[in-house]
Amino acid sequence: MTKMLLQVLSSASLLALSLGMPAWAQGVGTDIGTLDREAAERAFPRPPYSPPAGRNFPARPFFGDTHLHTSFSMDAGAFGARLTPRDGYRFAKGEELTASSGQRVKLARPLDFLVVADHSDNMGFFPQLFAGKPEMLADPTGRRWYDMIQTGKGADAAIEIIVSFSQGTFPKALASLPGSSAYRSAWQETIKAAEETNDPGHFTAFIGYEWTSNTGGNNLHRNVIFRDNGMKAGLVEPFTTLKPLGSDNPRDLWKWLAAYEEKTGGDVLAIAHNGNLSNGRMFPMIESFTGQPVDREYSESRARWERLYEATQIKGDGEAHPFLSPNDEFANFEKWDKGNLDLSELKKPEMLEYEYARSGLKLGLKLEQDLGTNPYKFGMIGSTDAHTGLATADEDNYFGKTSAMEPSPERTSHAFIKSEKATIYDWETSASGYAAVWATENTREALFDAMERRETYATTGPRMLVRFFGGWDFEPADAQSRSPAVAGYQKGVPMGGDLRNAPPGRSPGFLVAALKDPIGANLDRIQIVKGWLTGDGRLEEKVYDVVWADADRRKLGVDGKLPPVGNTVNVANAAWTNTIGDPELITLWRDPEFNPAQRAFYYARVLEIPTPRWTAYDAKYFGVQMPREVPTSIQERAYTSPIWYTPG
Amino acid sequence: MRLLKEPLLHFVAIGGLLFASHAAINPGGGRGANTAPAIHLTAADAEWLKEMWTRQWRRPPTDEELRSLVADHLKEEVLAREARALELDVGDTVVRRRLAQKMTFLLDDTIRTAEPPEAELRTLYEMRPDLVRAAARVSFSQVFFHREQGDDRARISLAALSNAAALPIDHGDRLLLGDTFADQDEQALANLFGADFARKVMTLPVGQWSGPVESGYGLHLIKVTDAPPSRALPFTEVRERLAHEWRRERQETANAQVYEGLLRKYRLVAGAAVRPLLGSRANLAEGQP
Repeated sequence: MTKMLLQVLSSASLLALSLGMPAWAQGVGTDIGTLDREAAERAFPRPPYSPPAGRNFPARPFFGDTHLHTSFSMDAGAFGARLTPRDGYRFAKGEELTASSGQRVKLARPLDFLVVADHSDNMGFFPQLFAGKPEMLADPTGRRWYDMIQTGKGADAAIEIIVSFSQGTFPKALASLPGSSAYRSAWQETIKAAEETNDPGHFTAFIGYEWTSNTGGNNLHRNVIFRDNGMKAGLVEPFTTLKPLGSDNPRDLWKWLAAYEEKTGGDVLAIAHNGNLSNGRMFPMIESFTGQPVDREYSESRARWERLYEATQIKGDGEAHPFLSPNDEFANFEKWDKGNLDLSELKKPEMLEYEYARSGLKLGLKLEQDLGTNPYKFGMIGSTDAHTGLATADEDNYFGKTSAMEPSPERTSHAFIKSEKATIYDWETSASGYAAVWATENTREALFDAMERRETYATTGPRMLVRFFGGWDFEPADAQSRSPAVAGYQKGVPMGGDLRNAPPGRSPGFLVAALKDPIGANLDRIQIVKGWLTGDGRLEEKVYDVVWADADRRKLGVDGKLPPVGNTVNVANAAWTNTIGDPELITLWRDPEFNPAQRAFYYARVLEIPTPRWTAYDAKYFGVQMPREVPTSIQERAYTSPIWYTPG
Repeated sequence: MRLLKEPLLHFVAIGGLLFASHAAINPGGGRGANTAPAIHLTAADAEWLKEMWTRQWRRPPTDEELRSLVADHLKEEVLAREARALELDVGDTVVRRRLAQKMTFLLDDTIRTAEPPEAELRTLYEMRPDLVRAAARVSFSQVFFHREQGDDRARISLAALSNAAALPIDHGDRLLLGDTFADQDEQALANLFGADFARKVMTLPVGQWSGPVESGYGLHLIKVTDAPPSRALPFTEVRERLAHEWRRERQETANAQVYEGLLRKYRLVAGAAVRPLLGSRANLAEGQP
């Protein structure tokens, strides 16, 4: 029966495809006719008196999670997750639910969007019985079941059907009639959940899945996100890693993405994560699959499909590593560097360069010089990767990585991964992160398009607002105006964009601003991280403190370092005060060491003042003593997508 | 899982596997060939493998790929049979959950309920304001003041702004969120400014400057320009949502009924320690000696 049902599905796919095509084709190649001066003036009238009117740049960021697992992921189910994709979306929308551990749980604030990204491997095919097609009604048994279902006796019909299955008396006629039955997968169920909860303008439920390439325990995972609705996403089954149907090589995933777009006219992207657990394989110069140097085809494909990188999440922060950035005193943050994902192989220092976002961005400059395309030209987002159906990234509301890790007095002492070589404890998991997206409205299309243009930033949980623009013509007054974003968009490019054509003698200016989370902690400082490729082929980086809070009492030291902002965290009470730091920071910064001949990238990192880590909230709530090595305060942060400078 | 690491088990399994493959590949020869279990590979199987491949890769497999698919299918079948023979599926949580999930899907789909009668939708329309009503919305301008000395400055500006000729831009401090907000509901405002601020703003009078209202950022003077109240959406607009809810409710009841029916197929035998945990089902359970 399986085979037949698949045929049915695929012929249905063809039908939907042929119906879908014309609508999709309409937007392309429209003839707009000749644009004369008069018409142009009508089309572009002088700006209205009211400054915000007619503006269609993004006015606010939308916060969400692009990486949530539910019980449909086999590993999540094995750890006791009971919540379904539908539950995951409802929770993100702000509803109160009962978690798999039986505790009531609710977000302090709803998220704006969510991608349920269950593992494609073993998401599998699940049989469904369907109803009502003429062929089915022609069969007496089918007719009877159909009538039972229609008259509300579905429950009785179900039992009859199941019995007939188990006794092998299911009518052959029904099993073999085209269109009479269909196979449904957990995938179809996932799509349905997204379609039902998607509410344009209020909450976006993206369709997605995770492609979990993990050969040898080395994490090359990618989340796949669809811009499209279920009509298109439902035409495919998620790409898996198990051979021969699937593949663990990202090149094959990219082929699958291309085939999907080509066949359906749809739009998809992929987001990699946890390079920190890839043991040197996430941002390769030499491909682990072939042992050959990364080539042009790899670069072009990766640049096309992977425009974002998930730089922070529960399994550790992936922005920077202290070994690679010894002068960056904030690089040692929620670090997971003991080994690969299953700790079957320990970390060696020479792997780190190919694992962390900042380093990947640098390697990309070099590859772009050699190959003409930068494969690692990615923007930044954060997400949870929670396997609980609960997208919780708040320190005081952290429901853990798996359902077995939901709040309990013991959870901080459990081992999360243990091998003969090393152990990672539950307390090392990080209550992080979310994706912030500067979209014009809260819809699948607008959010997806913003992701593709990399107008995004990662946060480790708090919902701070961060603006970052680069341009040649900014003036100090732009940072003083009431609406710096207007100057940002008019005179520059936003995060994720490109700078070229350096005017002679001019350094790029960066207009950067941050506003604290309305219910969160004050800000410590904004930094700009620059990476560049020197004339003799060396990759360099530097972190600049560009604006900071409490400026009346904090001055740069002779070593160029800014004194710490202080720490108000009361660990015993899991409390802090906003008596230090500032709610808002803004400045215009020019690169003092700009060399127009050198490729470079710039991104902003925003630090909050220290606040209690989730372990402090656990210690207080459960009255337990944390082991000495467990950190109890944290400086939450945001990383913007870079702006790239390319000579010539 | 530990069992899987037992070398002895590997030995037994591999031995059995070799035997089974041998029997499958040489059906005519060898001792006991007639009694060996058969693995049937039909044209339909090959067709199905092709179909699976095509759905995944969006193109048919090459001959070589198809050969590898068939080889893999055979191997999987042999291993799966041997695993079942060794009862490796018994006590495996993943297998058990997977089966339960399959059953749930099967039930869900079978029970899929009929089209809701119009009258019942009309009733839902009356009974479920949460599905029918659009939230109250508000459009407003704001003037922001940092908290330090914000109170006094805000009061002075509030008085000045009562003069219609006064320009808001001459007052207060910059807020990165902006100064005008159109068509926001309380939840959206709560996300931007905090819940207390949002609640307060929803109650302010239209057409005049009020405040200061406190937020997580500081103090705000607010002039609400438009405040359309919460309203019931027309039936046609929410019909789909109501139908959805109707089906969901029916499905929940039906699922519960089916489960009860299936449960009745079994005798439930529970130890004394477990009985109290069974809640209302405790009286269905027989005691364990």
